[in-house]
Amino acid sequence: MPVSKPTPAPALRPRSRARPELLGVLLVVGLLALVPWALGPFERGLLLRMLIWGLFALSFDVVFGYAGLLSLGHSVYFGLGAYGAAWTLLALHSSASPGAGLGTGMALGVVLPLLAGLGLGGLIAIGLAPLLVRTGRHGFIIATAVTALIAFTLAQSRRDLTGGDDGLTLPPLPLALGGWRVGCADPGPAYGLVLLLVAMTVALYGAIVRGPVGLALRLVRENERRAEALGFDVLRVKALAFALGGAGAALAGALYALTSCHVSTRVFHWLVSADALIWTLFGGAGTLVGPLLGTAVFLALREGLSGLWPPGYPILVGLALLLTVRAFPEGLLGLVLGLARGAARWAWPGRTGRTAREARNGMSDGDGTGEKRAAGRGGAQGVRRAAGRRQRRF
Amino acid sequence: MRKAFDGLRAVDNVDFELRAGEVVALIGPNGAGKTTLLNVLSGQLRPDAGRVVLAGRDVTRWPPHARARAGLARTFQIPQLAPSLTVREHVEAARLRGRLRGRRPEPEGLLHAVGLGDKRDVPAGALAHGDRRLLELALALALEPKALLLDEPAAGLSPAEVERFLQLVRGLRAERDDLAILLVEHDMDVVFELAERVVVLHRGRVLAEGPPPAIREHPDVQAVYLGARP
Amino acid sequence: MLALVLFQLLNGFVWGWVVALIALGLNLVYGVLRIVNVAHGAFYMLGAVGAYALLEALSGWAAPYGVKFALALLVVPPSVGLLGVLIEGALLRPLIAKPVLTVIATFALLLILQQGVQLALPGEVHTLAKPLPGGVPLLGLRYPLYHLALAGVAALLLGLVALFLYKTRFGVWARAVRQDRELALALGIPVPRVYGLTVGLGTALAAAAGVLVAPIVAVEATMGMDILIEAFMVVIVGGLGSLRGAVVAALLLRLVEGLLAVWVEPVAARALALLLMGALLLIRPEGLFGAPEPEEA
Repeated sequence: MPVSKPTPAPALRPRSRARPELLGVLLVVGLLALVPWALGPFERGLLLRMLIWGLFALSFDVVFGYAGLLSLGHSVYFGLGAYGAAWTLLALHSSASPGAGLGTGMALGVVLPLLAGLGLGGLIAIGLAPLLVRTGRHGFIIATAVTALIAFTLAQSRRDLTGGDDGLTLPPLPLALGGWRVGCADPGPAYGLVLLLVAMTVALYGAIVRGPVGLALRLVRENERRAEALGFDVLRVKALAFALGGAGAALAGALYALTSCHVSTRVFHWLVSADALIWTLFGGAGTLVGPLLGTAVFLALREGLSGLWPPGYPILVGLALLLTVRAFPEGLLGLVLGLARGAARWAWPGRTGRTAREARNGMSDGDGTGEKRAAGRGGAQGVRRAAGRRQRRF
Repeated sequence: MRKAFDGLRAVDNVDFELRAGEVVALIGPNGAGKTTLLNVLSGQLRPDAGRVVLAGRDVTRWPPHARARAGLARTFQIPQLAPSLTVREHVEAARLRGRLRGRRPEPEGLLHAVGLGDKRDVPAGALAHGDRRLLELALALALEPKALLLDEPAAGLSPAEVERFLQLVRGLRAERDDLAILLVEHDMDVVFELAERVVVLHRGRVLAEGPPPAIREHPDVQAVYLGARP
Repeated sequence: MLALVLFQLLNGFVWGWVVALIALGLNLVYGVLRIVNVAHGAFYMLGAVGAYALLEALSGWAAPYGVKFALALLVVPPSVGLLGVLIEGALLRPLIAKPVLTVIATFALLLILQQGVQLALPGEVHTLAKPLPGGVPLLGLRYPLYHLALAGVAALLLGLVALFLYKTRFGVWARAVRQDRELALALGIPVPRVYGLTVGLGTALAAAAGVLVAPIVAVEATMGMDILIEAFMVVIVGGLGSLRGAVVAALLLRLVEGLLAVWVEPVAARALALLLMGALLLIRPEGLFGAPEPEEA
């Protein structure tokens, strides 16, 4: 077969595209690092929550958006991370002598609870992953919801450990910057720590989803048969996604417990997983920025509405979800990018090609809606494909 | 080997060998068990009895992905692609061969070889049918297989596309003389053009086997294809 | 001691039928439409709230309370079922090819229905009087009569649904669509109508469960939240799509929970029972009566 030589030019393209992206990321992180110091404690706290819950949503998106698995049990790993950190913090607090030297005490007091939370949530996610991914696509939704119910009920049944609905009150993180200490009303220097850790995790997730793992995840999401035929162990890929997501959720949970001075069993509830779903879907599933964006928008909305009309938030969320599902399934990010592309096309006609995003037929809809429509039209091709789908599904 | 569905034997006592460097065509009327046989070979289905041996190793109990890594590549009757992944990403994924570490491999050479070089950034969902088939072939080749199973590769292609496909396979034969190809096909022109040996399957059993001219003349085969009972 | 065990087992038995009723609707909708209906718990809640609202509205009417309650049981579930049919047509049908989006759409529905009820039904916990007061003697204790009647009605409803599915034309259609949608279409079965009716039936069953339990629980907007996941568990332990499995699993779960509640706190009993069911799933991932879920592309 006549093998033509590879042309070097196109290989350079992704790299040249990465540069403005990197600049943008640095700009956002820089802003997030600088702006809060000029804000009041309340706004700082809001930004902090956006970062932590944004990380949670992103970790959810690794499972949902990238691997196509809808987990209603993501809250379990968040909750384990939160309680792992909380218990460690309490243990250290009660054992530490009040006048202990700040240097090593500070490092241990922050690092140990974080590691404990990450370890507890991460390990249990790793342990459960192979079992849960075996349940099939619909079964997975239900099975993960059940894990959330079990974790929640178990936590409720051990009030002595978890504090039940009332929860545990935690001491503030033993962290100080100069004379500025972390307090319960004002995260203060804890904000910097959270920003650093969240940025690092986002970067790590970014590296993972852009590498072979990301490719395998998306392939498995859209066509398991194809993934298998190309040598990918589908169950292993799914379990990996689940473990990666679970570890991120555990970290977010640990950060949450360490910065909010309080943690209750509510963190295990499946509705917390559903929050991640809402934010991710609204922001743009299957992207890195989407979940962070969606979380920020919804937390700001909730904050704004809680002053005006508190019961409005859930209804608004419901309507926003329906609108997202029906009108822009790619989320806010997809909408914004689409508008930007439209504007670019208008400004420089003829310079655009088709992109992956435009042809995407709704996520985790492996077969694609286009084929469904073709089948509806009764085209010979469409009917054949529909028949093929039937063979696969039943 | 044997495979039954709900007591209905789809493939029964089929025994054949695919040797390195050989192109074997598997033909037979609809429902003869061709695709079932292919699925058993590639691991999508487990045989109820019998063995599948690949390059001297018994792979009967191996899952599909392990067989793919061991050098068994296949295409599907209905192209199986990921709609939002681009042509280039598909080939990159294929070259990973299931590895999850390291860098993403370079797919350019292969893309040009199958003539999809200028469509590398098109998502598979937006490809025309003929291009989907080409991409399926490219993916199979990217696995650098020892054995290649092609499930009706010419179905739904225009005459020009069929010609292009034939050229590709002929080129492949010339380049890789150790590659074994099993071709399931309805288009007899394609079969007689490519195959060195033809296996005729009918109601799950091997009806006849031999070089194309002999098969063309075989009375049982003619009977089956003309609709008469053998 | 024996009385307590019996009491708890009876409680488990009664609630088992309620959960089975909810799970049956969930399972029916899943089996036919392949939709995991997260809003199902909201329909259960609507049933209870509907009964409460209707009985409040009828409080001026002189008829005996039992008659009014029976009226609620006859009126509320079909009304909720009708709502289900409308929702299926308007909301779910366009999304049916995309399983994940249907889950999200039903979740959105859950939020809207729940919050809507919260707004319409302000105030604290609402309770209803039992239509059948009195109890039956049970080894020195008295077991409430209404609980037994409730279990009877729930079992009767389940039986009727089974008859409906196995003896009527619609039932044959529904089972055909469940087996093979494309083939059912090809055979001329009006698949969209089957979808609508199935959702209607499923939501009506959930609402019926809601009406039945309204006199023995606190009627509130969030009451469907956790029982939904419990119904999920029952569906998956019974075997996805298996109606018999759902009933068996529901009874099993609640009986185990009732038994455990003799020795430990109710919440702990619940957690342990759920854990045991989870362990059961590890042993039989496809559920008690289920076939392994077919591979999906």
